[in-house]
Amino acid sequence: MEPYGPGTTISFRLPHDTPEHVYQYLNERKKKLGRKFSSEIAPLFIQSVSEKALQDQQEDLLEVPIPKGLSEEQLDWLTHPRTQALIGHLIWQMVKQPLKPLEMAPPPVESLPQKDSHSFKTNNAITNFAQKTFLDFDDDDD
Amino acid sequence: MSLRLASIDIGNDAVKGYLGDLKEQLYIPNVIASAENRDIIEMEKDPLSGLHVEITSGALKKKNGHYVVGKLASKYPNNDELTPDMDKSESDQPVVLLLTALAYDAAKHFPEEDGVIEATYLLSTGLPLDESKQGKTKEFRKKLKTAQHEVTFLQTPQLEGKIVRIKFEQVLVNTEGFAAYVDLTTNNDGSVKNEEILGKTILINDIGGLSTDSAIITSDSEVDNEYSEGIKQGVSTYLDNIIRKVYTQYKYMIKSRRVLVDIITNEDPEEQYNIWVDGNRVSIKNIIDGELEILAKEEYKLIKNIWRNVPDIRTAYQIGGGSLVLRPYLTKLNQEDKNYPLRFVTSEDSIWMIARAYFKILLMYCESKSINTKDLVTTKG
Repeated sequence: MEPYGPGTTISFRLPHDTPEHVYQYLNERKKKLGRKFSSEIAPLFIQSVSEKALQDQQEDLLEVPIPKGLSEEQLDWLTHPRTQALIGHLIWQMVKQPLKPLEMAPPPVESLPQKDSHSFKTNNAITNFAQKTFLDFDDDDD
Repeated sequence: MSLRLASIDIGNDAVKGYLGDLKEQLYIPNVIASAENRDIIEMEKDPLSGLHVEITSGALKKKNGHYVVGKLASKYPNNDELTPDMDKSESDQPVVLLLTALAYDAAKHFPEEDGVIEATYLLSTGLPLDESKQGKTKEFRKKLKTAQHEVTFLQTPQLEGKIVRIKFEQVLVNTEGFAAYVDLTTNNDGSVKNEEILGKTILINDIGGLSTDSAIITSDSEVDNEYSEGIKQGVSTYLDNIIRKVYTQYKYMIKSRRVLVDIITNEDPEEQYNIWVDGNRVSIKNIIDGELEILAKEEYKLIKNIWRNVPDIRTAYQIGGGSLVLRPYLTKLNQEDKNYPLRFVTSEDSIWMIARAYFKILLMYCESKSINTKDLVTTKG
């Protein structure tokens, strides 16, 4: 196979599941631009491939799964740039000075804004529904 | 006294549970097999893949038995899955699954003394509509609450030799379909969700593996006992038909219902409705359509019937694993016919909704009894 380089012709089939709006757009542009069609489409292709290629090379990014069961508020907090800087700092310290106690206590996950878990106050209609439907039994029926 | 909260939904395909709080989930396929000994070459790494237990419990008809449970049991030729003729409240299998699930949790969270773990739970679980209509809840609660339960882990990775004694401080036995209403209307912190359905009559259709529960909640948040009903009709039989037909036609064995559901619901168009025979892609969409269209028609007939009897219904939620595979077929039938306001929940919710509902009901129970949920056992100690 000849390696790809500037000037190489690339031809490929559109996948059978190409969305309608994509090929319709292609048809429109082809009709309007005629032979100049590829000079408009090629940059689009280059841009997408370039994004993909750079993304794959981002080795200085660490992907960490987000813990399950966080509230929307907590997720917002996690994705805040300042929180991420904090996490970055934490990792740096863990790697560089693993023996030194962490300066930032308590750990970030536990310092998330947490609703008071003492009580589970629900809407009256729903409480009544649950009470009547499920909880209305004699505690010592055995 | 140390006490732990647990909600367990004994589904026909799998047991789903929340332990300690709404963050810790447990999922065990509902398959068991009797097994005294296992021929082991190499022990599994994850205890959940190698559950092998001896259970002694007054809640079992058999009183004592050796079982492999869950993923491991699905590899046994003599395994048992639930069938439509069995009641959950009267079979041993749901109790075996329930106690195994709790013992697994207890081994992680309760202290151990000389290999024995004493665990006390506040349990919230449930029965299908037709069984609770027959008044089986009280009996089921009593059976679990008064009996002694002991689970010994046999050849199970990491847990071998541990003995767990389980006691129930209280057992809530809810009704599957009605419980879903609590989850649909209540967030994890207790605040109101989907406010627009409060004050309206709604239908919750729980399409499961072996049964369909149609629960109607009226505009004043009461249970409609007259027209809510449960039928023994679910997706499992139809999935089994598809598996059989695919085998007859292509000599290709789809390993389990779960694998087939993954084929039906796969989001990748290369994989959805397709099997790979000798490396070549073969579409089985015709076979799938044929079977699921029949069931969808049955389910739609049921919805129509209920809507005719209770014309006040404003929205019908489809939940349960079955709603996931039937969604396109039901939607199509509905577009061609009555155009009812049908709503479907996400695939995640269709699986976890009932277990989550049970947990929220348990939290409401604690609130009403002033049990402080913060002092309960959430970590080992």
